[in-house]
Amino acid sequence: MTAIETHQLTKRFGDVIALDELDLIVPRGKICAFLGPNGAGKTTTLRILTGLAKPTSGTASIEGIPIGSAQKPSIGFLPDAPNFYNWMNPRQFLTYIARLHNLENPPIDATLERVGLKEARKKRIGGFSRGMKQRLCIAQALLPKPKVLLLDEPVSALDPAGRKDVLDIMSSLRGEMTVFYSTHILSDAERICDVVAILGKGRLILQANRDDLMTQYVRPVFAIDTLPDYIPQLNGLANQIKTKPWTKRMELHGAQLRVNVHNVETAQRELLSLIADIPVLRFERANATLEDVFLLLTGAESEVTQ
Amino acid sequence: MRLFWVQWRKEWLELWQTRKAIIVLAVMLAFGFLAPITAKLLPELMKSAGNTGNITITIGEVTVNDAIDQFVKNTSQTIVILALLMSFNVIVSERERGLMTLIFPHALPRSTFVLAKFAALVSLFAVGMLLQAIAAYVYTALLFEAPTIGGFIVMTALLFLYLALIVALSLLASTIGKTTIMAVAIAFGFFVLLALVGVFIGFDPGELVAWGHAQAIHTEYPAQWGALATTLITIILAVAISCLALNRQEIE
Repeated sequence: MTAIETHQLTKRFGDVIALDELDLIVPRGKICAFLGPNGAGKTTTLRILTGLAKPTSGTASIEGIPIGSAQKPSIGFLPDAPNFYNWMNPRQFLTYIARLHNLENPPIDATLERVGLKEARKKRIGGFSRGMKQRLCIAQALLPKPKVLLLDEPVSALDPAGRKDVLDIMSSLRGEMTVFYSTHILSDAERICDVVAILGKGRLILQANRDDLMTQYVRPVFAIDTLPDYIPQLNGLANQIKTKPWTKRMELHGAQLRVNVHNVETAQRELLSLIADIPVLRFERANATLEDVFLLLTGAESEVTQ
Repeated sequence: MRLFWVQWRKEWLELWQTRKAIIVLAVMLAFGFLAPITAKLLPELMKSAGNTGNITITIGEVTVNDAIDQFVKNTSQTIVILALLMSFNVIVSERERGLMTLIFPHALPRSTFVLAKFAALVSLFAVGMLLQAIAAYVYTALLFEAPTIGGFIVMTALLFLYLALIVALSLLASTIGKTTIMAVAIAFGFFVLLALVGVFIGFDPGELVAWGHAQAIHTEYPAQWGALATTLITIILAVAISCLALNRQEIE
């Protein structure tokens, strides 16, 4: 069964089409990264899924429950820039949330400990940093143990340490609940997601398992790194490579050379002989990154969607 | 119903922890005490002021009715402004600060959200009105004579109903106003409209104040059942429209 499903979901703001017949299926129990450039429609999708906005046309459902029906799906939501009742402390706020969900013996302290706010549980939220508010927001989303957790740019406001903590929390939820999060930080998405959905101009460009995607879009690129002392030799090597018929494109940055090729097998064989005279630190076929795939797909959307 | 009480409890906790409840109750209690005190002392003050020059001021004997006059004036002028200030931004401020984005996904019906806010404010002013009335009654009894209890209770109830109307209209303004400034402007527009309705239709909710006053001082005044009905219907409509309006809104 699917956790999230949208069918022909469309949202217009006057003449602007924010979502254009979006068909999306997120499998249950997976961590799904929802990628897209600014203005692609990620936040609009999340706002519709949470019931904060209404679609112009089309349908959306979570755990089989249609959005907008009398029955409410079990969701937790972390908005982009969370704000709180500043006069409350985290314990009071989570108690309020627990009461809204009619939770008996809610694990408030355990939840606060999970997000690293146990020490601050009795401090006024008004004095919290943005990172602390982000953690508290995750706590309020997790407390009712929702079946689906929706997060809008969950780590965008955090420092590297905070980002790591939040990503670890999200990763620990794998199998426990479905996590659907929008992000533009591709390395973070790559690190924890199982499924990737890429949105562009309100339309779904691609949806696939992350590993399948990486394999499918593996790049015909070789990376050659040498010592800084051998940069002149590397420049000479680059001049030689440039003349080869299998060379498509090259990038030379100091002691690092990236060669984009037409014919991988021929290039690999000939490159090995060409680099024989240079002390090489690294010679490998570069793996595709989510960033590569993202840029490729969002930059060539029309080709992909045909 | 359970969610209503959860939300009502949160609203009261907010009123308490932000000291708004204490301020409102203290102001209303103070105005309750001040009504008979002002009525008692004002002639003395004016006499002493008159004695400093060649002006002669003739003031009749102050009575319990002057204390009640003062009580009605305090409530229909100062406390009405307090009710407006407490209500006009309760919903718009939560929308502006993005709090609804956090709360509504927790399956809290928007109409419950509005009803709980209205109920919390009305209950706060009910407690305030009770304190104000008790303070005014006791001090009036001490400084003059005890007003007739029945008439005083009717007057207090009608004044409270008028305050509830102010709260309901301000809440509606707060719901349909996109910004705090807009909410203030809409609330002001409502009160102008209300006054015009009173002029043209004749069921001015403001008549409740005069009617209540007359009940307390035992003077002849025509019964204002039309104004009473208009007030009750307006309160119900204002709250219902607030619920419908918030349900239709897209939350940013």
